[in-house]
Amino acid sequence: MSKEREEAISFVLDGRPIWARKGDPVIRAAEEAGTYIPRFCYHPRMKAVGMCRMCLVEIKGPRGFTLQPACFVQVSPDMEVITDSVAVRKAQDGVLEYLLANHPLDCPVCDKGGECPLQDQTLAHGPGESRYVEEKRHFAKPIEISSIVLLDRERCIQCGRCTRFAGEVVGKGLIDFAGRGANIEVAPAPGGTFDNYFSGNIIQICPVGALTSKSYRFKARPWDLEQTESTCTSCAMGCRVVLQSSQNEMTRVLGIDSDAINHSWLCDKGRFAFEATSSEDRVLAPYLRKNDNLVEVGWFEALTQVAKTLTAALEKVGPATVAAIGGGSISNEDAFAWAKLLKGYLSVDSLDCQPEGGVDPSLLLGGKIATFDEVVNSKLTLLLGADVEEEMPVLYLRLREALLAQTTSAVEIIERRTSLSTLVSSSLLIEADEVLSQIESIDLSALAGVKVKDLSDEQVVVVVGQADLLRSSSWRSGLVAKVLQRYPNAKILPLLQGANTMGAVQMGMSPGLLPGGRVIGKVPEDFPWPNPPKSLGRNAADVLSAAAADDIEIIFLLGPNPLSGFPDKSLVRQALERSSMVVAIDSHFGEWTEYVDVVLPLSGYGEYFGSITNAESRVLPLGQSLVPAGVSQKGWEIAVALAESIGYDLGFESESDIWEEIQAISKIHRGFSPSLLSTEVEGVVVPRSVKVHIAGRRVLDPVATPGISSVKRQAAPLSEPVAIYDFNPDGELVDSNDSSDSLDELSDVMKERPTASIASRKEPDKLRLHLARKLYGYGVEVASSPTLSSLVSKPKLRLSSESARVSSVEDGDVVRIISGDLSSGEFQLEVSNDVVPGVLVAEFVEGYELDKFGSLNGGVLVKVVKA
Amino acid sequence: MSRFKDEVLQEALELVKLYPEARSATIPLCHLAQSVDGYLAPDAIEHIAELTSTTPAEVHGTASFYDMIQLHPVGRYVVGVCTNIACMLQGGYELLEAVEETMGASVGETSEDSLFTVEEVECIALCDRAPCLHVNYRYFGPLDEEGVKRLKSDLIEGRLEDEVPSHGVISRIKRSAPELIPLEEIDELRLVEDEQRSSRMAQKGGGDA
Ligand code: SF4
Ligand code: SF4
Ligand code: FES
Ligand code: FES
Repeated sequence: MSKEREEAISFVLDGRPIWARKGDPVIRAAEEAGTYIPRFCYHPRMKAVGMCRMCLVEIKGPRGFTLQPACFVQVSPDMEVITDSVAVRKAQDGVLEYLLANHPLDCPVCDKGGECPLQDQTLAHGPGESRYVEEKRHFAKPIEISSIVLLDRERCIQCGRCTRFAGEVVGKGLIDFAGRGANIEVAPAPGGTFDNYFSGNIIQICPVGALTSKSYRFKARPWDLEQTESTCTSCAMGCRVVLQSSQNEMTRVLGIDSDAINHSWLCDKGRFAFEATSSEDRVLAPYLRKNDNLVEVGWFEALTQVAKTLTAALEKVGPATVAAIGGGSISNEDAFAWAKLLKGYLSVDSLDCQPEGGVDPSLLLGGKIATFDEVVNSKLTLLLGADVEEEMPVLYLRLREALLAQTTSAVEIIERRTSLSTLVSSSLLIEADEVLSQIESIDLSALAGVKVKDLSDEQVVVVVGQADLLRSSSWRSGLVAKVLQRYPNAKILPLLQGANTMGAVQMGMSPGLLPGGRVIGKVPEDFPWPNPPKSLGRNAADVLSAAAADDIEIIFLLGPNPLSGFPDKSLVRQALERSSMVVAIDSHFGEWTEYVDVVLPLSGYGEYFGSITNAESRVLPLGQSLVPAGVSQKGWEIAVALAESIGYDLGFESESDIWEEIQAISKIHRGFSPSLLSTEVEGVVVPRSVKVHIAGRRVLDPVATPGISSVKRQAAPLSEPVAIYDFNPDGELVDSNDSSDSLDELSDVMKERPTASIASRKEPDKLRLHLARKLYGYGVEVASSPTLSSLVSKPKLRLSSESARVSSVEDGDVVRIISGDLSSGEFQLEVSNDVVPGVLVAEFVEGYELDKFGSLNGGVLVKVVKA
Repeated sequence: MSRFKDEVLQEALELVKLYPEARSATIPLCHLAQSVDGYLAPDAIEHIAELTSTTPAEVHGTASFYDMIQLHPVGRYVVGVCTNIACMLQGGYELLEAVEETMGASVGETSEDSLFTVEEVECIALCDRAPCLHVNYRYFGPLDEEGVKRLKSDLIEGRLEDEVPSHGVISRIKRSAPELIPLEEIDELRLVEDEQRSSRMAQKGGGDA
């Protein structure tokens, strides 16, 4: 936000002098002063267009007072505005009569009925009776404009919010007004659809019931809904949401306007992931494998069995043969309790919450994590191997906005173009095995058009992506390390895979780590855990390889299918087959169920309170809106119960106990209190010594966001924010830097691991496989939510024209991938110079067995042949 | 059809170049596509979107605003019968009926032989020859049932080939950007005009009442 915008001016509203920010539209300035001007088309996150005329007010000009749209006119010093006069009321009355002339008034069967701005504003400002007796227009009801969204054209009031959202926010005008006059309608291109990752937002922002979601249509009435504030857990962005439910069933999720995070938008994955909670494949009770079948058992039997096998294994062969994979998708509380049990009591260090490789913990804990606001306002944003739209969709919207507004300039380095390529200052296609040696010689600031002397390190942000699932974490950190040599104070934003990967790492769920960035082997005397690990454990890939070689006895799978993004499924299969016991703490049956010996039912999304920490290290609350399914339990409760069965007392009876201990031993969390989460809409960035710009509480648009703050005006009543935790220590600020020594050590420990070399191509017709991360590629949400699973599409292969020539294939050919004896199914090939030569880009979509080529050890060389 | 090809593509590219912003060429490009196919085919919509850096939905949205841009296939001759006030008083509806009967298509439809598409239109500014109609935007009137029959046979037998353009052609003027006029010249012209204006006013006795 520029200085100019922050400048305050005063104007006269209904006779009283009011302060306002210069440049704000009258409608917003008035709203902040407590005067609500009715509106339809105005949306605080989009450019005003003045289309609906509902916001007409009288503004004094050279010709005296005239009616002008309050959303379109900016406040100016000493401007005189009247919002309530005969003329204004007559105008509002007239606009509403006009809008209602052709409106079907089918409120009793309309999803929007009860939370409809057209209903509400007609009641408040409209004519009591209609003078229109002619036949109203009719359209075929409803038409499908995307796989998710239905359009009832006769309900549309032509506010243009949906079409503007498409063009302005998403940048793809896939819908537009068609026709003219009374026959005007919102329409996709002939034969086209509105399919994109953000289509669900138009359902939320449509001020009438013209746009409805297939899954919510006719499901509930808004006044019957209960709602709870929560956070999306479908990626590491942590978009703020409200969960709305009726009769213990979640009905829909809406985005909250959080200034720091999602600006009210959600991606479709986040909006519809909740459906997985009520899916058929939920685990409702503990299961135990008996005679090769999973049989439902009681908690006691299941836990006793696990405890027995675990104790025996630990006694016989020691903690090195026990491992846990996952933890990036469970809450902070769960992660801490499991870390305490496994690391603190059982000395097991092979815990890895980033099975896909991910981002090196020493980078995550180094204290230089950028917030999203810093990313969109940095002088230079470096997108390293990042496909932001696929990896963190709403951040893509924010970056897109920032790049267009030139609040940041970005350079992208990747093997294939992305949806940001046309917006960044420079998009460099470099092969992964060359980028490490080249990156030092690239003049990043020149490419971004920033003068080096204008650039202090702090203004550089490196967005570390995982666009290629076959790149190892050591490749990634090697690359980042080289950038950090040049800009030592640059901040990084990791596009982590799990919603709570950051939190899990902070809780110690990585080999070598203890909570708060402490490393094993350097544990202070008074550390409250009795038996922390003595030697460095294995990461997930090594655990799986060891298990495949019969070196691992017991594997815990923590959280909803932690291995779904792991690109080498044959290794997983072997590993799970060969270990003596696999215990899944999971909410869903799924991919690996047939290899699992014990399933402990985990409560699902929306079924428990807790917190997660997103990629910018911001702690955010998870709300509970449902009774947990079956006898499922929270992750930490399962850890406590298992500890008890072994004979230990973790000392946790509630979340507050857990947080008390986290604060006692984790420097990162000092000064943080979970009770802050019930007051801070934007969550809390940890460590608290990091300065973050705190935006003032925004006045939200009730038409846009029937969420939190607007709820008094629209939609269901929001239960008072529940203080989840019952204590509140003083917010003491600490210096996070004192944790850095031990972190250096940690990175030394990490460095001792062999760095995976990258397969380099010797034979020209061999291509290096690049498994592209896709939003709907994998994960429990995608597999178990009917809406999302309907969006999964067959993976595409892409290749540069040069490589196509060498491999004798052409655009549109149906091809197979070959590597050694392995051969894939058939895929359509696209020849495109958006891919660096020598690389075959294949989208990673579960169910197409592309993972059989996967290997984290440096990637795979493949050939393509015509099928 | 069809995307633009060959000379038509050249022409399309020239049209795009006429404007500082590519999307301003949307409507001329719609005309161009229509002059080839008689209507704006989905493929053409897509191609126009590519040429103007917009989306097919936006091109379709723009095109659908205008009645003279056809979004569905039409017959070789689009016959628009005026039923606005002057024509209506002179028997516009009777003319429409005669056209429907003779051409073998009712309003909004195309005859089975794909020769005629019939439309009912608002005033086409030929009120002095009411009741009237247009065929591919060339005007005929006043007409009675006999006249319509004659018109049909003239069209079919090619006697009007020179007069009636092929379907879909709205404008036969090829647009090109005018030569740039140097700014100084514009300023000089302005001076001259201003002088002329003030002298005219002086003659009138001042004031532009
Ligand atoms: S469909 Fe809804 S959002 Fe879109 S223009 Fe109509 S009323 Fe507005
Ligand atoms: S961007 Fe991420 S956090 Fe936001 S709605 Fe989508 S999946 Fe959820
Ligand atoms: S014209 Fe102002 S809100 Fe629509
Ligand atoms: S009324 Fe028919 S041409 Fe004017």
